[in-house]
Amino acid sequence: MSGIVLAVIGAAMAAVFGGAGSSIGIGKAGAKGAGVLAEKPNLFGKILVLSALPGSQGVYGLLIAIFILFKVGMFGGAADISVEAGQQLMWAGILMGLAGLFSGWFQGGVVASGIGAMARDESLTGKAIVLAVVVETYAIFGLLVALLIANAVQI
Amino acid sequence: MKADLQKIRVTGLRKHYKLLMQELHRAGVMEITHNDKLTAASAGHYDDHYGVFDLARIQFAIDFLKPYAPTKSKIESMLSGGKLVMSEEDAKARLKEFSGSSETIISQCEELEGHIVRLENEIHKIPEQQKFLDTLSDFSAELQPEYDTEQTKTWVGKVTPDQVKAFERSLSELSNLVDVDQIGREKLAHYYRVTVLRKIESDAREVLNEYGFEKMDLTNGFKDFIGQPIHEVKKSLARRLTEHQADLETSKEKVKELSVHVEDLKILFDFNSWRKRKNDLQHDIFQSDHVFAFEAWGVNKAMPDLKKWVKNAFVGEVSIDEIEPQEGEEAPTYLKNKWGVRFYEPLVEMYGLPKATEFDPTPFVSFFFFIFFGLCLSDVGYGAILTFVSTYFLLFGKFNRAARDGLLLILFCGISAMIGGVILGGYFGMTPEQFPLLADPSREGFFYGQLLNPMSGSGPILFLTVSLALGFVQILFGLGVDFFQRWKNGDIVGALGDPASWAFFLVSLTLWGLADLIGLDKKLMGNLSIVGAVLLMITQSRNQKNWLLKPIFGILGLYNITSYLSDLLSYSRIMALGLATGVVGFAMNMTAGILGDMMPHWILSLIIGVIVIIFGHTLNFGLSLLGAFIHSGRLQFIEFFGKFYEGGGVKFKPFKREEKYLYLDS
Repeated sequence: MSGIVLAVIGAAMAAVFGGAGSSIGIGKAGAKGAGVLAEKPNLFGKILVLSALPGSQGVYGLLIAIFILFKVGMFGGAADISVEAGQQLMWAGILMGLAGLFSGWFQGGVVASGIGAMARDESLTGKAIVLAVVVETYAIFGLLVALLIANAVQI
Repeated sequence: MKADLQKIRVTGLRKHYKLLMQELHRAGVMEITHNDKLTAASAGHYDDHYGVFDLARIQFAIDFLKPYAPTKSKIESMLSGGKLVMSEEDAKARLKEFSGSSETIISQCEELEGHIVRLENEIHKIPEQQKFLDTLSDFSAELQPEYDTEQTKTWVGKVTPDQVKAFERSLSELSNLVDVDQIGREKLAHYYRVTVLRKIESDAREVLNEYGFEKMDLTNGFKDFIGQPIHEVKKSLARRLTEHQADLETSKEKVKELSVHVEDLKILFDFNSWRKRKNDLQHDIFQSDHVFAFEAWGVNKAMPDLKKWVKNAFVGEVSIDEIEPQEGEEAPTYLKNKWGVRFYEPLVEMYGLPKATEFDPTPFVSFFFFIFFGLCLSDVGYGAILTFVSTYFLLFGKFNRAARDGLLLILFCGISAMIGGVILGGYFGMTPEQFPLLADPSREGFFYGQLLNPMSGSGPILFLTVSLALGFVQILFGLGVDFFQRWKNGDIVGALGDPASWAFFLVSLTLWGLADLIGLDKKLMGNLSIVGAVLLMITQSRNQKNWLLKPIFGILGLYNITSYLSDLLSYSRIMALGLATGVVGFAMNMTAGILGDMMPHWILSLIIGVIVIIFGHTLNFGLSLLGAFIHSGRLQFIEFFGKFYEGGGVKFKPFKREEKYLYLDS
């Protein structure tokens, strides 16, 4: 496989798994939220904010995907890059994808429970958000490492 | 800053009670507290001073009438925060005019509601009854509870379709004196009328049971129509339905007429809830035939004015005295910060208010949050949207103070995002080539005023360094606050042992790491770090009495360096979020361009491009805004507060007017 194909695989992995993590997470949270909504429709705004929290993993995946594509010059006369460089970029994408997948997935669980807690006591909203954000830290670390790798790759 | 509160006791002659309460309610500077010893003797003196209307009933009438009332435009109601804007005089005048008829209007609402619910039930039920009668198409007799005679026994009921054939055969085999009539059918049941002579009644009953014949009383649900043939019943039902529908229409018309009073009811509600509050308060107040007394937390600063007013109004017949709090009683927390800092109070409140011994962290939070938020959102365009929207509502809207503070917080966020956008070159995700107006001709790929380009070259690393440096500053700052807080509370050993030692170690270690870069003596810094580490090993084991275990605990204490490291790394999120806004915005612009180019005609290109750009940027704006807000907050709550702040103070809730529906313009 040529370097450019490997890099594109990496970009696709980042976007796909990041997006999948967000979808699973938001799906879990949204399902719980919709249940709570039936009892307390006035909580819609807060439920929306909480359910949107696992959405950032997808954005991070997208970010790395674009960064990689940008790096290899896909947006204007793709440069021919070495297989080594392609592999490095691929691993950056895969690492972001997996970090996003698991972080989004499990953040969804925390958010779902948080929504349950909030339904019982509205004043817990802030604390529920903080707990959920703790999970996101690891997607951010993944993003950080992926960025550092992608940035360091010599084309 | 926290406002100082003073425990006070107010005593006076009972005749002045009402006027005093009115003034306190207006001023809103006291939280009246309960003291069992004081109120125990007060039983029997609880009066309904104000003739409070039943709030639940007013609330019911408002909720009932609201859907029928003419609605204001969306913008208009947003500008008033959904509240009724009027002057206090107007409100009082309208209340006076309305209070005479309020009871009638509310009871009319209650009657109409019951009536409408009944009608709607009936209207819902009648089609079902009609459907049932339609299935009994072959039944010509009148509706009766039973059709027995002296000689015969008759059952009416249904069997499932799959049983029908066997059921009919078994009955006819029983005797030729059995009369089986199918009187109607529907999908899941066939209806029968079975008549037999009394003498074979029990045999017939056995057959019926065998085939699951379900007996029915036809008059069930048709009590009004007993003795009428089915076709008559159908006619009456149809007539009834039209009557009910007409009745429902007129009832709804009546409700619509009543709905002009929604505003009056809202005024009534707010005024009565104030009265109720004053009445309820009597549980916390000692009252005898001639005097009253109560205890409260008062805002220190407001006390001189209040005392002066009391002196003038009651010529010494009411007095306010400072007292000691009860044992174990902690003062509530009343945050009172200057303009600008004040807007960030809800953030602190979200985490938990400071306890009596803690500093109010709001000033620090406001400073760091402003910077972090700006770097996270980092787009001049998005910042401008926040700034514009909040300014518009501030200029043209009527809001209470809390809502205005919220808008001002958004305004501040907008401004900081614009500053962040200039520094990082974020203009709706555009590159300088795409937006040459502000492109700096002397530096390729940079806008005017842009300090770093996070997308290329050493930009990402520089941005990361800035984020971590900001984190380092905030962590040290947190340690500093911890130091002063402990010092002030008398824990001098703790202040020197924990925050000061850690700060010394962290700074010297960092300087050692950076020594070559900034031209310091590496060896000196290394030695200082070792001194710091030894210092920490001593201080971290200070609570361990056993001398042999001390070194172990010292090393374990030193191990805490990992938590500082993870705190520091956590600040890399500033860079990640700042980068995400720009890159995703850039991607949206590019997608719009690519899709636009694919269109066969330039008009189509334009339309598609604009749609993609609006949709894409709305999405990016929403997610980036959420992320910037939450993560900037998280850095305060976890990394910063973790150093010095626990929270858990109780909020000061002064006795004051709170409007649910009104905004009283003064």
